[in-house]
Amino acid sequence: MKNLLNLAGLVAALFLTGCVNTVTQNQPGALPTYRDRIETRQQKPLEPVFEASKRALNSFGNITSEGKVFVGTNQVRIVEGKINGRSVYMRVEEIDPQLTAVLVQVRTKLGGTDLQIAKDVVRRIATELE
Amino acid sequence: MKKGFFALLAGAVIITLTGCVSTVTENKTAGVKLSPDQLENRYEVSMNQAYDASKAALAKFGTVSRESNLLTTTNQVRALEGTANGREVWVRVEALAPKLTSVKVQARSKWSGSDVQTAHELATRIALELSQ
Repeated sequence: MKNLLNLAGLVAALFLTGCVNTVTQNQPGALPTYRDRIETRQQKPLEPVFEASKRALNSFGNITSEGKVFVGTNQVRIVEGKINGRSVYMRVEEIDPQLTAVLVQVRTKLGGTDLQIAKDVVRRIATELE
Repeated sequence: MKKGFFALLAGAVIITLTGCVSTVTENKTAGVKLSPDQLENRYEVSMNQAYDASKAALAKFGTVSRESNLLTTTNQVRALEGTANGREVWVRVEALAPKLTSVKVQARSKWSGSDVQTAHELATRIALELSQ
């Protein structure tokens, strides 16, 4: 019984340590069991939405990196930054020429999430696009 | 007593060894940091020249999956990610002076950790691209 518990502890340690998938990776990965990201879709081309996303992130915090992802057939831009000590990851993906999806993910240092900041950023992107 | 101690020790070792490894592009990747996985070369060329050469070298050797600008430092930094030789590769191109650029190359495999040989190969290809 004790051995079984030890084994379960080791397996749990293996699964719990490691990296969390972010939406700015080449593949955004499956959703975790809890929500750490919000998706919004805008009826605008990719570039204006990407610029609006950068302005939105800059208005709350600062951008640490921006770039392009070449994996997949859709055009994808990424922005990463910090707001209130939280790490913010944004993936701007062209669904079709007039429809763009924005995924906003917020993580705390200890692996938690902060959906309130994600919601604020999503709202700000919509405001910037108007 | 002994079994419990060894189980605890094994747990501590697993937690220490599994986890994240920092990449030269200021990201994290899953892996084990046991041996050097990166190397740095400095070239007396402008940053754009070094970046273009790095991108061309990586595109010829494998595939470029991502390019980005890193905005955390005062130096201008650009980064490339991709795969080459079946390994994940990260390249950091940093302007140290207007005519001095640092190029860091890191290569890791998914399971066996670092692959400095692939990093060396890519660094050589970047140097060859710059000499053309």
